[in-house]
Amino acid sequence: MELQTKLAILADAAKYDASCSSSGSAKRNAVAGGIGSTEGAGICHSYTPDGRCISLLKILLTNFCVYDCKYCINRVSSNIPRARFAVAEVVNLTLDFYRRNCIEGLFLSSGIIRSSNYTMEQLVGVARTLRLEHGFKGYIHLKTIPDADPGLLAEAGLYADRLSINIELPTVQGLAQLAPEKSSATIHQAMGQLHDHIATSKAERKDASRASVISMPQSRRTRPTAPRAFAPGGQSTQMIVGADGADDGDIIVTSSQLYTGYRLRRVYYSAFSPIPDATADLPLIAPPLVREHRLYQADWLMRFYGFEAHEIVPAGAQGKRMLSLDHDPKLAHRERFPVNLNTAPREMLLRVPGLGVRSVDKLLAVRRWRQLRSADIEQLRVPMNKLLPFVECQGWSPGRSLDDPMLAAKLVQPMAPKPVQASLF
Amino acid sequence: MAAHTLILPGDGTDFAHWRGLARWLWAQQIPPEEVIWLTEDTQAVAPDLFAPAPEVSALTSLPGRALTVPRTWLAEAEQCLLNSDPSRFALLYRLLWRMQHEPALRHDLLDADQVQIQHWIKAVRREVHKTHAFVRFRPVALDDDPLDGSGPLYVAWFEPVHHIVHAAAPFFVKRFANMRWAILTPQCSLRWWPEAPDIAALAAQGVLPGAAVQPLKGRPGVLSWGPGASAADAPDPDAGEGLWLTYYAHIFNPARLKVAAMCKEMPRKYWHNLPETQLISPLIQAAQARSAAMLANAPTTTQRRLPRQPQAQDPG
Repeated sequence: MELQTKLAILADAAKYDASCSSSGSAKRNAVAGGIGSTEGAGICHSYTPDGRCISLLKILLTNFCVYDCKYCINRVSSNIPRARFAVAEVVNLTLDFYRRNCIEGLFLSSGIIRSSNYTMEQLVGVARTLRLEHGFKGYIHLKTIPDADPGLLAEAGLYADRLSINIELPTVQGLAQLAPEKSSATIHQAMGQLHDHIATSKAERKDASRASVISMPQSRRTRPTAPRAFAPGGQSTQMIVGADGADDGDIIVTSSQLYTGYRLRRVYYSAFSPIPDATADLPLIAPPLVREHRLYQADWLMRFYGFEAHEIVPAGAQGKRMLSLDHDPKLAHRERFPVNLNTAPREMLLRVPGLGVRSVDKLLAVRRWRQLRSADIEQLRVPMNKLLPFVECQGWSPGRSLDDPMLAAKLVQPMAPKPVQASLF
Repeated sequence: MAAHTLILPGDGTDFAHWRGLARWLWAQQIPPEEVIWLTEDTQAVAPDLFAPAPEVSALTSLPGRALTVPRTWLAEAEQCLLNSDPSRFALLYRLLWRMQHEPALRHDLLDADQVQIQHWIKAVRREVHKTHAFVRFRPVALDDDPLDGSGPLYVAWFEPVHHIVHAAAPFFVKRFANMRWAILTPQCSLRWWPEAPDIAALAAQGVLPGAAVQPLKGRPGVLSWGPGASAADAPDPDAGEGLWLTYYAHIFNPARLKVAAMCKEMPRKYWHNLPETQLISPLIQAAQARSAAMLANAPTTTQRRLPRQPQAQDPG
């Protein structure tokens, strides 16, 4: 099969993985040899019309798979065309795209062929070749197969910047129902192993850098080389939203457990999207993109704004805990507003709709020196109509506008699905 | 009113020169409203007819007069000069002037002048970042040369809005330290010679000592720069680029069209130099039909021979 055809099939097979991040790894470069660098912050080299970035070459090694996960385009019972890359083909594609400055590195995943160990060995083989034979210093993200041999997992961490194991569905029942071959317990166990490896390697490297160096006069100060980092970009996971009956509460609580339990860098949410040749067991609907967006907002609030899971998703109708599709999750609590910009603590400022971490830090820095006035709000360059009803400061008070029955309607974010005219085609 | 017209050399991004002029102005206590700042480049293109003759003999040494700014301000001002807004010189001097008279100003991140300067700096940083992201190299065959390196020469054509070519260069030097590459822009062209032992060795190639640096300690490699180029100097697409276009077309999911999100992060001003953007409009046009077809097609029964259900894992 021609390389171009394979690439088309195996990119088609990989696009339902949301993650494309190339950030958060150790800093490296090609000054001492090889090719490539990582800078800490990732770079998005392109964007497709679905609004997602292309940072990594995201492909499957093969889309042959022995599993039959209902939501997956590559499940064994699907009639899509199949292909398989040789290790060298992936390595050369990665290097060629990298030299053209089209990508930051590789995100490699695979269907399960023969056995978990065989597949994992192939994935690790690609990373090993890139690192050891070509001195590749760019980013490598490997999808890890949970029931593969722990030795392979340990080796994968030496070459990869990030490892990930998809939890797939937020509840154990959902997984049992839609992905019968996968086991929640195995997934959690593998995440635990990765977490231990990452934590141990971090601790060892910290100790090594702390050890004092004693040098003879006029000799070069040398420091023993630190042990190699294990997956310096940490581990991440992905959850599919809208394929099973789990509500937003389940999803948020599960993510919050993953963040605290295994110190995950990211939990990605992927709105269940129609796939070619779908199974009859799943509802084929337009992907719940707004819901996915709200979950990301909620996730952000938990990680950077100090929100608690229960604070974001209050129980709603019929016991379902769902985020509002129309409104910012920050709007859940009327009783907290208005917030005084001159006196409120940082936590409270972070809970104001329209104020991000940077704006809050600016406000805090300025108010150490003087009172904040209404003119200052404009200089923040944030959306005024979103912010003004919720804050007060010298020269500005929202008055009764917070209780304006029209306020909720005014704050509906334009991203909520709008009525559309039926298509003629 | 405006008694002093100053012309900065070139595009005006030389911070040392601006700093010297600002010091001189402060020493003479010339307030910001009385200064007109111009650059040689803009004067050459569109001379300001009403500007009085510039003062060139002005930079004589004057009794020093203390001028204090926060340490971080110097780096910020240097970055601000890379912005292409013509009023940046004047605003920087006004802020410098005001900082001497209002000691608390340095802490006031919400002051209108400060906000404007931060806004310009942010635009510069963003463009440096976007340059790292959107420069696209195309390989051109080139003979191996012990003073230069081996393998093809990777050439890119890029049109930045701000004067960021030099600021963006260290990233490419470190990432592609062992690759021969050149970045062509309308203002300035960069060339990296990975194996050149020092600048003098490249004299035969036309590299001038004043227009090159050897940035990496303890290894060869020279970065040289020269006058701007034009789009015609850049190579045409090659066969390998077809693979990249294939990848771009197939990683797109037609069921989740979000064109605004794409345009926000990849503004249209960069599109004409990105090969993959030629696919955007056909992909968008076909997206609705493709996702409607996925929804409409009845689920199929499998036509594949399924493997036996995996048995329980080996008892060990």
